[in-house]
Amino acid sequence: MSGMPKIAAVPRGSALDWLRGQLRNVAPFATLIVLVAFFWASSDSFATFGNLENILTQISVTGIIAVGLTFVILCSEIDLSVASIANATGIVVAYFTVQDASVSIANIPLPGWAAILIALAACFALGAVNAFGLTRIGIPSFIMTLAMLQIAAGICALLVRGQIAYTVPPLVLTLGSHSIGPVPWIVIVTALFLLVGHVVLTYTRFGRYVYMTGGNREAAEYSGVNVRAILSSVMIISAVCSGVAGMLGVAYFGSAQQNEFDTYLLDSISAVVVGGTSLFGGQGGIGNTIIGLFVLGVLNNGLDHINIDSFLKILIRGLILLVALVINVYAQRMRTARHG
Amino acid sequence: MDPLLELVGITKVYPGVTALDDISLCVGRGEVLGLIGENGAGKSTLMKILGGVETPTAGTIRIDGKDHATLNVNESMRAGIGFVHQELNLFDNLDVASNVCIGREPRRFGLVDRKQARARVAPLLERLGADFGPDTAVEGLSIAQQQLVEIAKALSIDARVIIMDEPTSSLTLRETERLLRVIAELREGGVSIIYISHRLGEVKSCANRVVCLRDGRIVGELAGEAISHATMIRLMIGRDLKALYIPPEAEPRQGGCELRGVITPGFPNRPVNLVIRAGEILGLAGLVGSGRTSLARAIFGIDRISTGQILLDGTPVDITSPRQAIRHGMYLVPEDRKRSGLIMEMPVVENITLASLGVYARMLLVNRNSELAASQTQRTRLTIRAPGDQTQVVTLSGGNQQKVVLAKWLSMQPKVVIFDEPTRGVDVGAKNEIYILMRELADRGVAILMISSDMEEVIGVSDRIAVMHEGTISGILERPQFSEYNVLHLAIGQELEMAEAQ
Repeated sequence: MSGMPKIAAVPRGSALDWLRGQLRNVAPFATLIVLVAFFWASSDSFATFGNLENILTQISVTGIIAVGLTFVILCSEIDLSVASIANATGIVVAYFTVQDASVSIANIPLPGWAAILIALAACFALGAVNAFGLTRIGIPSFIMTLAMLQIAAGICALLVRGQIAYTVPPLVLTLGSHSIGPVPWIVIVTALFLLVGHVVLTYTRFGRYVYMTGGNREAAEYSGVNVRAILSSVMIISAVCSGVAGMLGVAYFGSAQQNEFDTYLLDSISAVVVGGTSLFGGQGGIGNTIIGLFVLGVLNNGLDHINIDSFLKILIRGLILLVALVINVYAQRMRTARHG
Repeated sequence: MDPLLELVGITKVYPGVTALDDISLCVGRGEVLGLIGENGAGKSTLMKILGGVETPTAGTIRIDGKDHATLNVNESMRAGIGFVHQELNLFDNLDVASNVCIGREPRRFGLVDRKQARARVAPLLERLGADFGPDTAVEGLSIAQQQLVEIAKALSIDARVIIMDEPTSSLTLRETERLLRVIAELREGGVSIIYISHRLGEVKSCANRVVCLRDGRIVGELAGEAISHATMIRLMIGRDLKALYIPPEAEPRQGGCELRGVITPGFPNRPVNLVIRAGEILGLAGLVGSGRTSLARAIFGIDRISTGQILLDGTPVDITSPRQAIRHGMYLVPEDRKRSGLIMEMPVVENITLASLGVYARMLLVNRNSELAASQTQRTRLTIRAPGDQTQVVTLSGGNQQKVVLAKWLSMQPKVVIFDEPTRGVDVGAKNEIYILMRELADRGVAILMISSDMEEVIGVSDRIAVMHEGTISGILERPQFSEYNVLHLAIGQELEMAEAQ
């Protein structure tokens, strides 16, 4: 603590020290390599070009959600409403599109561009409500977004009333389920989101403020950062990313219905955390999230390629997440120990 | 008087600092011992040792003739030592009886017996003359009433020595009088009290004996009639101050920052009027809790001022957030740099450019090269000893960390800079460098307000000293009037009747 003049010379870290400091980044990467090596060795069908495309497609929807979530977690907040907002936005875009005669949803058909704009506005608005609750009313994000999870699920239920819609605007359909050459559009969109997210976080003032807000909110505020505006923005970014993922997801699945995104909440949070972004904020980034996405993607996909009890898969995923959390907390503790 | 509690040769050494040096004192049965001393004299450390929070490096604690080398919290409680802290440690959400019995709830069939708890607490409250019952919710009580609950808590463990640390710091005059009456009654009842306070008037009216600490040593003791303001102040001061003063290059110039009737939320009805002239270093002295930090927070826009005006170069400015203060060129170097000055895990360069990121950004993107250039310039200018711009701030020494905080503001256009305890936790060499930097800033025409509890620093560095007492400015000293005696005199709220020239 204060009071003690520290030794003036900065201790030169040994290789081990460096590795320890990088635990957050090294551990997920090592995990990925081990997983790939394992599945490569145990299955012939795993390491093929076709399967790589499978993995990329499988992690795409999670990936777009995870971009927004990375911003939120970097600010040491959480957004539990991502999957619900994705679901609601997907349903909204289908609700404003002409459906097949067999679908009995009392919907309002609009031109494709209008439906997309309304859907984007919807997820933006839901994010804005999250932001308002968090920064103006002061509801912790954990609780605020839990409420939003329910609200968005309610919107889904009201719009489709237990039915299933199938048709989405052409643009959404193309981006969600078509390919350009061998590469699915949804993979390209995800890559773009990750790239833009990375650029924003690393090279812009806003990105810097996100890290600063997460690193030390008080110091950021006393340095003139508008912490409220930063927090509001990340909640809205998260909701809009979820919304886009929701629209493309509906096209990808071929249908819009209730609860079809439920597994994506855990998946996207896992991707960010497994990748090594600190739950305490300020450390990590899109690079980590990409590794996290691949760890989850390879794991999910690889388990299908080896002979394993499919019910055991769920347990394995849970254990992997637990290990990631342990590393996350442990990495943080090692860092704070150096504050000494 | 037979001693109830005796300390023999208590020494506490922290790495590099001796906080307590061979302290021996005793408290008799039914005695009120006043403990006085400047900020940082060692009072709190001594009390932490008695409370079992800290272990002494050497020495013996003798209670009822029984020797203890160390105490832990439970032993201290069992030995009959009770505390009434400056910050009250009560659970707002519980009622009085539960608070008094916390951790020792009477039980019946394994469940808390509330009836018995009430029956146990009621007579204690009666003894203290409390006007509330054991069922009252604590959140509805005033600070003074909550203090009575704390005292009842101490009595409920059969405390024979109650240590009161600045018990009156948030009480009104009448509440203080009542507390002093309670103390007198406790004394009659054979309870001993160690009364720690900066308010010498109270010490004088309630203590049988006064012990003064300075720099971790007992420097004197007064008893009975010998206790007076003058004798106590004389004990508290009395060391040679090193010459630190760097004279300004020019007279203070026009402009600066003026506070007109500013009232901070912490001290209603205590308006502050103060002028910080451009080009001067105004020291702000005062005892802990006198409102210096509240004032700094108010000027910097962290807390809103209730009424009053802040003028900058003669024009009133409306400051409701740190962002606005920064926009006006008013900066704060906070007291706790780890908590509110730096982002410890970020590199030096990011910390330096944080507040002025717009300067280094073209369009939306931050230009890394110009950022690094600025960081290098500041590192050279302030001789920040760090391996590089990318070094994490957490690995730097206290002095270098403080310089990074300064670098953040110096790369901008400061008009007013508030330094809150600028050299706390900073080694001697870096201290001087920081003083030189402050003087350079002042000579550039910046108005500097330096809050400091370090008497040497206040007297050595300032051009003028404003002294605060209970939320308001109790006096301003010009350099010829500078003396520890005068500063302390004002700090305890007394008029400066004789200006002692040095």
